[in-house]
Amino acid sequence: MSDGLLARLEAATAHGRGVTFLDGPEPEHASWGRLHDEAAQTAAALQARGVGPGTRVALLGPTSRSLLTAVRATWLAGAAVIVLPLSPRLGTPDEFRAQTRGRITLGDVALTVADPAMVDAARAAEGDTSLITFAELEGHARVLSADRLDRPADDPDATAILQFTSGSTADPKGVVIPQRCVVHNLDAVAERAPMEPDRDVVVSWVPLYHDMGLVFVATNAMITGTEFVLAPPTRFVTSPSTWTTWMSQYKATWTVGPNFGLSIAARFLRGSEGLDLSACRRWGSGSEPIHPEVMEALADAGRGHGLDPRALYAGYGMAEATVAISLGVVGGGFRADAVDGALLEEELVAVPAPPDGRAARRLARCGPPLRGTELRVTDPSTGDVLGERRLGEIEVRGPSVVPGYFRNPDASAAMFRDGGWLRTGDLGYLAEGDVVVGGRLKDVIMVGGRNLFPEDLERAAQSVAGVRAGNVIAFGVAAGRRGEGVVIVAELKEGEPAHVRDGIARAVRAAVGLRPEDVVLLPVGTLPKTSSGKLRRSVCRDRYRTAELEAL
Amino acid sequence: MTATLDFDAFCAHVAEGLRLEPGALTPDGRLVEDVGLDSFDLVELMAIVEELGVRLPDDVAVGLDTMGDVYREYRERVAPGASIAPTTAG
Repeated sequence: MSDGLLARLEAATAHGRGVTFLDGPEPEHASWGRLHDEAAQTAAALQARGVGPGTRVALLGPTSRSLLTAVRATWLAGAAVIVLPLSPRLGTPDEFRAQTRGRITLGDVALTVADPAMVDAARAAEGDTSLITFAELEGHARVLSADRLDRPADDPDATAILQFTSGSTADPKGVVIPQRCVVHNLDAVAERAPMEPDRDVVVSWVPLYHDMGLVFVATNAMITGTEFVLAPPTRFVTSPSTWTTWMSQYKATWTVGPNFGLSIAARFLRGSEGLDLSACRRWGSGSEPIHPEVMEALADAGRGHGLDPRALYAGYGMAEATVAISLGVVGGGFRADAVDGALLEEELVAVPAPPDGRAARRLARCGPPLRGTELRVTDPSTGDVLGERRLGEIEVRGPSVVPGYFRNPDASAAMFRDGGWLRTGDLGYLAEGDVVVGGRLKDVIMVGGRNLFPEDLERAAQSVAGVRAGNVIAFGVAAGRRGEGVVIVAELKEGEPAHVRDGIARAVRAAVGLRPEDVVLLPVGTLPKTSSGKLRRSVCRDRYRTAELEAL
Repeated sequence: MTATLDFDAFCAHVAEGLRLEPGALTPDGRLVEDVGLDSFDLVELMAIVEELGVRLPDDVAVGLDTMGDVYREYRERVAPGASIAPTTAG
């Protein structure tokens, strides 16, 4: 198939499948045909408010029938969609408002559609006419007939999505994802994690403001017309056993989640009885670093519930490449690559090592690059292309790679090397055709000729009692002849600071054999993070250097 | 686990799961502001409560503020109608 996005949406209603929405008190089912008709009416209502090709619509609301329909309606109206993140549960209303307003302004949107409980965060000023609620839009849509829609011609270059990344080191940037990239990437995904309307049931709670939730799952289900069970992330967060319960109840064949979600699922599978996961044929892990032990625990725990371990796979991707770059092959199951950790750090070579040996560092194999995506590994400083099992920066090229960032020519130019190669900023290597990701390029700490991954230091530090999990940043500072010294900055949840500092120093030394130059403890809530909760390592390092951190 | 835990045992179990110091959890200590739990900790907390055989509705779960709240919901659901008399914790 080579049809465009809109033609795919129209054709996908023919299979007679639909969506079960789990956000209400009772599950609610609607066919894709019905949802498409509602979206066409909604699109007509959007057009009546000036939305059309070349414009953008921002959507702000929890996962629901209204939100999914509004995404589809925005495309049918010819416009690009921005799905805005919801308020982080622990963030302040002021931060949420600033983040939301910033994205609406940067996106230069024609219209914002918001949940009534969130309109205050989205409103520019009293009487803001470019802001309405989902109910107002749907009320208007109901009195319009679907044939009022002025259906634009399929335009592969039209922007489908403006995806705001929360780069850990830079301010948010809007990735421009054209319709042609969405179609190309999902067609390539279909060869590794196919959604087939005559056999598949997709279950997902991944938020729609995340590219994995929006593109990899929801848009994929929409353009294939596959049966889709859609839950709001809050249901999973407040009741973590729900994921596997839904999978069993709806006989899910296809699901995906981040590493932490899979880790919780594995725990529940271990402790529960009577679940049936035998239908599952694709269960992916993506969007955050993948721990082999979590994948193996899930395979282990799932076996008692009929889970075929070959269903599990690891994936690698980013919004700058639409969503997916590489995924494990069908039927291959999850596999880790065990390499000599010291050689990886010191020589930047991934030399296979016995998996159980002391020197081994185990990393997830994320499968070969998708069809149409070229991938190479380069020396980040010289740009020289490196060979098999040499650690360097991952670069990709092909029809899934997006043109750039929205109205940000400098950042867009910096994305690419000559020849159209996207610099991912990720460190990794190729092993027998599989992509293996080892960390972020910019954050690597070089000490005495070794390359240390901050994630590893942070994991060690947060194992210490009193440290707030997930709230540790490690970075390097110039330290004389050693190259760089390691600094650990951590939020102190409780305990005696001197005692905790000592514990962190010992844990880091045990993990990497190096004593940190400095350990700084901060009060809860003061570690630099993005609005979506990602660590801002370079901001933290800058504040450390200028003595701006309020240490305890 | 099927036996109903008293408040101290409940807190000890949760503290172990969240890797907190014993005694970090008190009836009135607010989970986020005082104990310093983050969003991952809260998912973990809900997972621990579910493993004790109690599933809390969304609207109840998002409204939990203190460990006393969590224990009360646990106690009501694990043993409906039982009197709620959390023992004092250190």
